[in-house]
Amino acid sequence: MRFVGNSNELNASYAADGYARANGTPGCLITTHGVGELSAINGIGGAASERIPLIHVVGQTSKMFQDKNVMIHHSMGIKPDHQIYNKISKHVRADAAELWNGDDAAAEIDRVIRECVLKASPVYIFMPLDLHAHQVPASLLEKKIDLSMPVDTASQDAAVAAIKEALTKAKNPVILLDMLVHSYGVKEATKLVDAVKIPFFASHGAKGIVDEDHPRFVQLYNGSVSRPGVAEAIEGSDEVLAVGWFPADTNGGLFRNIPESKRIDVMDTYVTVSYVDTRFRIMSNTIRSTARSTTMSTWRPCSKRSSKLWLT
Amino acid sequence: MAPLLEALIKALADVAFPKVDMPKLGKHELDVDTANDTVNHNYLWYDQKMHARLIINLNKNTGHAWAISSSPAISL
Repeated sequence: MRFVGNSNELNASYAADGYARANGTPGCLITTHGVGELSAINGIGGAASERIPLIHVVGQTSKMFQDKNVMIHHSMGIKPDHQIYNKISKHVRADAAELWNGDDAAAEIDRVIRECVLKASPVYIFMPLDLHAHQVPASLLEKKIDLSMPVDTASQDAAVAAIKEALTKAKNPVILLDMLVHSYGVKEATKLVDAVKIPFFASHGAKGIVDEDHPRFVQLYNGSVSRPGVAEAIEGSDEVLAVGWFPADTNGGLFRNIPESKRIDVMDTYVTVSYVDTRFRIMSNTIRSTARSTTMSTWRPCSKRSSKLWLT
Repeated sequence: MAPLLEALIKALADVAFPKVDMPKLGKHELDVDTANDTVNHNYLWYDQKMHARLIINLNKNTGHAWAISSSPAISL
């Protein structure tokens, strides 16, 4: 790791976000407690929104200070809660390690780094002053963190067969690469558009992921504000393989979305194939190894599909 | 997503998709406004539908040009 000093915490969070986007690996920032973590939270929230893996390390006050609600500078009230910003950040993170003792600190750090990578979302490591001199065996670093995706292979095979059936039955299928590809499979998505000989589009949020000089690249799709003819072209397809679909207003061109009835959605943990009216859960629903400290929900599509058969 | 895409690439490797013609796209119709001085030619294009601006600056002395688009849908 290389340390890069920043003039304030917000800059550090956006710099770490940019690092993660550019390199495809988590960016990391270190701040102090209280005002430091509060200042960074805007950038962390942006990363959570767009599924960017960040690791925010927060140096906290000692456990004794926290237990006694010591009135540290910039805290709130006479008996301040030193965990107030930890609680606030629950809404913009996938997980957190709260290192209250040295015995499980290393394992907790490894656990949240894994969560960060698998969920492509921010995680926190809260480290109280008590632990600053605690030593752990360097040999722990010899074992790599398991970053393999917990794939449900039976469900994945069924999803692949359904996608193949839908695409081969279609008269004019196309591929749309959307923003979440950036966090979950740039390399594989670019291989896909090379291998499958049908036209493809990229969304506003996926710009830069694909080669726009590719002979089968059509244009950037951004709903109503696309280049003239682009929305009509993609909406004229009878089957759109949408990879990493992220239909926010700025990405879907003022909510002009492609109808679900002609869409295959390949998402981070599931696949929906309208042609066979089925949603396949691809990833284990228990990626997180412990349930604590987490409130950020798994990303969900904008509409409910109550009639879907869930294969798990 | 990545493992599924790998599996999908393998599954579709033997599929011969019918040749699909590349869609024919329209062209931007941009309002052009120019503001010139002795050195620089500045062109401001504004697309009402896209709410997008394209600014091109040409420097007559150096021959340099730069352009900024407010929309990624306008390829430079």
